[in-house]
Amino acid sequence: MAAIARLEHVTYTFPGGITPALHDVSLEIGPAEVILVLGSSGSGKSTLLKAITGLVPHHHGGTFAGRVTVDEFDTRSAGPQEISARVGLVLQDPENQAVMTTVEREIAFGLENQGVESRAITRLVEEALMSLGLSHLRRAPLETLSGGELQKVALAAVIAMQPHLLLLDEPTSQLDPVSSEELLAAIRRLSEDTGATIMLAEHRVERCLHLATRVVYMEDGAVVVDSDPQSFALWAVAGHRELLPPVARLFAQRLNGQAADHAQRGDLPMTVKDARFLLEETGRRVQAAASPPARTYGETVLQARRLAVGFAPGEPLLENIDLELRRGELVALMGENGAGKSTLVRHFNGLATPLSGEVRLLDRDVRELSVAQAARGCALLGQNPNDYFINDTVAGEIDYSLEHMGFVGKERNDLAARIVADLDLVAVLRRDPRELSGGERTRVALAAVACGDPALVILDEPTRGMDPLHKSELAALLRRWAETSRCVLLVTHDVEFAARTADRVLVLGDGGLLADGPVHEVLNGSLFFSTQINRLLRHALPGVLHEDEVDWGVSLQ
Amino acid sequence: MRAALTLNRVVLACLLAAAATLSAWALVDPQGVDWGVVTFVGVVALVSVAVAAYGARDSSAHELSLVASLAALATASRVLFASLPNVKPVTFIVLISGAALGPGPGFMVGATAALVSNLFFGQGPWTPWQMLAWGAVGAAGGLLGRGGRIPRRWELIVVGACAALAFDWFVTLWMYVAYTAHSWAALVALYARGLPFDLAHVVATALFAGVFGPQAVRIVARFRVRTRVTFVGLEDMS
Amino acid sequence: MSRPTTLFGEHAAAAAGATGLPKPNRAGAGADQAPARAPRATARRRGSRTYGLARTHPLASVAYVAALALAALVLADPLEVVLLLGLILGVLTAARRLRATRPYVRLALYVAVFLAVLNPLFSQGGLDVLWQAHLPLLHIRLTLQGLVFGAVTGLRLATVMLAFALYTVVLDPDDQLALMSRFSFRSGLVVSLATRLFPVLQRDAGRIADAQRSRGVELDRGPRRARAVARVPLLAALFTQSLERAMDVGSAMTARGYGRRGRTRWQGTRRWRAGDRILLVAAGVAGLALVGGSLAGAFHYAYFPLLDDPRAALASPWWLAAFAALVAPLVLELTWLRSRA
Repeated sequence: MAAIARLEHVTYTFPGGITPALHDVSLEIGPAEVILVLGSSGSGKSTLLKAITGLVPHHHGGTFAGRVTVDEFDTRSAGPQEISARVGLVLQDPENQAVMTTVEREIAFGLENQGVESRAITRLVEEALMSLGLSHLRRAPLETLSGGELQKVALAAVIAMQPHLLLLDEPTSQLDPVSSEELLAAIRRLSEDTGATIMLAEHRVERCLHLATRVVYMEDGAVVVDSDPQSFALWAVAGHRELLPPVARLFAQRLNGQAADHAQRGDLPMTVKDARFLLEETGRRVQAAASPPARTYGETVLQARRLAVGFAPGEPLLENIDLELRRGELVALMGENGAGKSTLVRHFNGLATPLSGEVRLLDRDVRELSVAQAARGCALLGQNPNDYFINDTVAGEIDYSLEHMGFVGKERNDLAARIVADLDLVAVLRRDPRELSGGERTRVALAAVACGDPALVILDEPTRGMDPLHKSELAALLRRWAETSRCVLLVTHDVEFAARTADRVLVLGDGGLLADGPVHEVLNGSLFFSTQINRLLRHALPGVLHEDEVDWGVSLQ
Repeated sequence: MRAALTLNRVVLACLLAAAATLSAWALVDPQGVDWGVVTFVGVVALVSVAVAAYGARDSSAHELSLVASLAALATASRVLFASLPNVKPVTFIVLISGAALGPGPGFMVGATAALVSNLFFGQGPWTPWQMLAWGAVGAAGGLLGRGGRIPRRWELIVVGACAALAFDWFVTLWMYVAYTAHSWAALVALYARGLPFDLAHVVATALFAGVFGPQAVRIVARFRVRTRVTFVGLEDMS
Repeated sequence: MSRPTTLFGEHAAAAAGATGLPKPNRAGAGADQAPARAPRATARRRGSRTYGLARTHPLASVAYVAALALAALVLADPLEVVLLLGLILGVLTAARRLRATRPYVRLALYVAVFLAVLNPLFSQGGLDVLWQAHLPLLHIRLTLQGLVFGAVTGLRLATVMLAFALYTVVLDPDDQLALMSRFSFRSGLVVSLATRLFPVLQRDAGRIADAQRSRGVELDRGPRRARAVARVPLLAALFTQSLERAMDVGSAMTARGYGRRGRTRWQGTRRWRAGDRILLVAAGVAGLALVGGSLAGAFHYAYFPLLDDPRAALASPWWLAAFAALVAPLVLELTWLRSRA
């Protein structure tokens, strides 16, 4: 099989880097493959993709050993501009890829670079728009587009150049679930209709593992696993279960002390459909595991009464919001894109003033407090941890926050020590926060807002673009905080994460609160906000949300 | 591409011809000429030439996006301080961009910042003047940072303050030249009117430069194009 | 009274209602909304209808507006200026963008009044003295000619500003950017990219400010100086983030082939219509008439020592040619072209 691209013993170090970003990587990429590249942040996934385009090393510099060949080009001699005729790259952040101001010009940009003549460009632009359903946005200014639409435009701009190999670096991590599904569906359609090879770096395996024909797992710049999905699943069962979708994890559980036979047989399910089929076929019975004891909650931390929220008076985004948050609760706030989740939580620490109604934080009206004052009682962590970094060291950031919150002397030192221990930041205290990895950055940002020992901690989409290992760590941290009588409010799209972490779920929609109750009630039987396990087992075991709540019964066979 | 070059040359030729003719007329008949038109066309011609000259450089994608981002940053920072009148960080950002990137890119950052911020706040006859003035500030910054050095804090404060003052005075100049009675008293009155705001601009620029100047230059310099690739042979790998 | 020139941007901003930083007293946009983007001065939305000048080919319309601006600069006779002003307002009305120019009109009036007051106080040389005053450094002679001078120069500047307002409000900014790229590709690319990135960075700035507020930094209360000082570190964070964005954007551009030799230019799908050609020709004729007349001294109007007869200049062939050329497209638009479309 003729390879489209080949990497041979590639070792690459960024300029000024100490450890290589890619370590002795060898891969052969053939036609019509759909390769899923997995690995935690910093494992080298992005670098791998960039090495194939030639951006590494020509655009970034550094030390490069080995060889990368794409079709007839060798990246040692050909630059990324020439390779762009064969390889297309879509990046993670939708805002960082567009160069022009309207959609059609954006798509034409790449074609102009390639020297395509004007009339052909017109046709190709038209076709690219049609193939991604963007025709109605042809003359739209890019600033009016949502994140999902922007990513589609980026994809359209790349496929207009008709590449043989399409590389996507975490394209859905900044998007909401609906847009993510649309993008992945478009990618799959592309693969099926054009036979282009696709390399997709992703974290949310449950969304795309079933699309892949091959899985490459990277760790510390080296390729650890490179095989078909089932072999990968077999490997993952042994020690990296977080890399598997929930249904696969379920079927990988031990039965009567014996090793999971499905893994060995090589038919671990990746989708609910496969799982249901397997369940019927094997006739296994499932039963609910013993549920943990009910939790008790403390005093009310936040109270919202008849809250109306919006940008313009008379046009409320949300109305009649009544809710109460207590110490010890871990609450997930969910809702579709644009429902108003982030807007709502901004009222809880005073960043925004309600149109009507009131918000009481620790029994004080939030309107009377300035945001800086409210920060002592309510910590709000935004979506981008980099927003918090203005000092040179992690210790400096924590000190800065404590100083501005008004803490002095012994109390200040105590609080600093406590948050550092709590978030495990001792090792990085003297380092520049901007040089840390993704997971560490989130922890530093969290330390910066929560160092004042607040009663309420709000996190706005903390798991965006987060690899599964870090997600588990974050889940553990949040549970620990809830158990030590803080209240944690989690705004998230990630249903699986919410199901594992939260006790209570609020759902926003249609201008109000659609649901407010224990997690097992709200997420059970839901059409949209449901977990894989729940969708699989909702008739057999209503209320079950993830695989830890399920035990295998005796097999009928 | 060839078509673009021709249009480019035609437009530039027309502008330069117009500017030359008007300048000649101004020299010949200083009283009768309409100074407003002469200066306006002159400024437009100068800006066009400088912009075309920048476009003729073989800039990499990296440099272009850096220049564009700094210009967008300058505009956005104006919004960050919008509640404080005439505290415009634009002059400061243009200055340090020039210091970090050189006179050519520095000019472009200034000119683009003027154009883009007016795209959002409204174009006016002052636009070419602002483009030229902020472009000059960027170029001046380039002189400060020649050879890749990081300018000292006091240098940035002094040059920044002077640049802010010169910017305000220069942009007012057209108003004086074109639409005011040509007397010293009127000029003084015009500048006096704006003094409190000029002062705010100068103080703000000096403040930014003092608090954040060298650090900012260092940050931007870090992102300078530095693609030094070292290829290691296939044979000699550890 | 504040100083017009440097503040023009500020005033227009305040007047045009451009969004500033979302302050805590307003529910700002969260990131899960259809993102709140900076409304541009043109406030063009997706799929909005366009009329009149806005529907013409960008090259034709920019030439025409340039001719109008040139006329506004060159004309000095009061009656001519008034007629030009009327024409500009007519073009705005035909494009149905008159209401959008309200902030610019306010600013133009403000400036006109300023000039109308400043100039009479400091002009010398009129013969009909109305009032005099001797101050230590100044000798003020308020003359009739001075008053007229002040009023007319105010009107002239207002007209120029309105011509530029026409440019801002009617012409499609993205088409103008494309035109600029035709003039100088790389420079046009820089401007296009900066325009594209500005709303993004604006949102970043808002988000960073909110993040800092959430950690206890007081940005909105207290003395002005303290607030300014508190915002300076935010600039550092914004710097780093935007430069990292620049790196990504540069990579994306390179990965799409920027830098290859043999770049072509896409013509776009805008065709030249009859109306566009008329507009271009009119602009050309008007431009030539204005330049020629200017050199020939036909547009000169003297205030001192005595006022010229304003009606005299109206008979000049240069003026007639220029004005006829400028009015023709509007007339045609309202009559013949309307019936064709």
